[in-house]
Amino acid sequence: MKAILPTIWNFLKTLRDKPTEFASWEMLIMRAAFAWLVLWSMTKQIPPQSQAIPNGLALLMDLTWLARPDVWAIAPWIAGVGLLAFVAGVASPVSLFAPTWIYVAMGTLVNSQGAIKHYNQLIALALLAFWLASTVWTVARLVRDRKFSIMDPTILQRRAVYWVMVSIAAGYVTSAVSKLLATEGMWIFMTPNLAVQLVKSHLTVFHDTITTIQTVEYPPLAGFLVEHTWVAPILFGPGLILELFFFLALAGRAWAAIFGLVGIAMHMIIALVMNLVFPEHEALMLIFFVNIPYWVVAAWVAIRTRRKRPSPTTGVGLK
Amino acid sequence: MIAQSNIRLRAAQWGRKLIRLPFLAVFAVALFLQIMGEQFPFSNFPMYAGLVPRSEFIYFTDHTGKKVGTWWWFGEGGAAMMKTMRTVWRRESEAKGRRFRQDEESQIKAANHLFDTFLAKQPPEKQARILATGPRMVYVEILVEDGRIVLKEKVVVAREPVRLR
Repeated sequence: MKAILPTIWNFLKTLRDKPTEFASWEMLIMRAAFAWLVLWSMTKQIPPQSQAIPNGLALLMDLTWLARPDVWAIAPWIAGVGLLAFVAGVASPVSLFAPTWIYVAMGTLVNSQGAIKHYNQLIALALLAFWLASTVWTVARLVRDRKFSIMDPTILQRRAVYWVMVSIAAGYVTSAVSKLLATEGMWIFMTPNLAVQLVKSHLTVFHDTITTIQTVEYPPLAGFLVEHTWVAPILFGPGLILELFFFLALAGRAWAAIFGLVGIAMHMIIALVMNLVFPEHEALMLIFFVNIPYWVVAAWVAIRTRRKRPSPTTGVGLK
Repeated sequence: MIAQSNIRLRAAQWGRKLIRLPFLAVFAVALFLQIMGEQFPFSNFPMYAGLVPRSEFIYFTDHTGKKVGTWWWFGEGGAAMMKTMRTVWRRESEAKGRRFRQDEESQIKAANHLFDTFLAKQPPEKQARILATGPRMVYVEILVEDGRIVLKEKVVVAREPVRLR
């Protein structure tokens, strides 16, 4: 036992965040998937034509012009052209400018109706992170070396993807901190109270799309959580721990993949239990953290090299 | 002079150490998000942060008490409508210097304001159809009492049926 603790401590001390050395083809797939996600999320919403209770950017300016039917008819197209250029690798400070600010303005209008919805923030943060990181890098290079590239250099893309991952991870960490602050650190012990939220989300969804069936029982799990108060901390506690330690996802590819997969699993469980779906968050984790294409190629390369290399024990592979 | 340059040297050393702290970028952005709070595109993501043993939701019925889907009437979910009602309710109560939640007058006012706002967003024919049913809005409080989940309902909007022309 005495030897294990220092070993764990020494291992933890080696953990650091660093921009992953993504290959160009990996980042091309990431950019394409991210662009599709942004466009899908943008076009599935119609921004409200008022900002009754302004929030964020709407506190500083009137954004309702964006929601005018004639403007919103072309705004996603402008964003689409920018995203297409972004996928092609055209300088992100230019190509991402319109998509980023159209998305931010649209999300601001959606959240300026008196109800804060949380499905747009993470995409907006990721867009802002990519755009800001690439803009700062480009300006710094322009000032220092007097150089400007029409196409994004690989090093810029790596930095920008790193900041996207940072912003997503920070979102989860801050969510855990919010929980701890609101409950003075006792969130896990207060999880039996989630039973009322469970009832609320189920009954709200039921009443949203009610047809002929007029009554519904609330989920049996809610009653069970109230009666057996020790179950909720076991069920929901791991979620808080995952969020709190999400920064470890920046320690390398394997860490990112593990946290990404567990994060997606967490969202799927929330969808199952609470009836709350966050496909945008799951997609972001899949694109930037799990990064399936890399693992598929890595596995394929590993299998091929193993086949080519003669096995020292069986001799399989010897010509 | 020497003392001053020593301080500068120390500050520079500490600065370098701070920058080298692992995961500093994530913690810095997390802190920024926490400070900014709910100002889009920033958020401290406080979903289910304050776990109190109570919650609430709304639903709609006609004058006979038959439930009607919130989406079918308003094209919006009850969760978002409840949040909007709560924001208006809180603002009304605070403007009057009253305690939010105990101020029923402000709650009724906020509920009627919410109903009228969302009704106004519908096409005229749909508005007439909704008003013809004698719409009611029911506010439901979910509580835990004596180890059991209890639902308390209250009609907060009640309109008489208006004949369709």
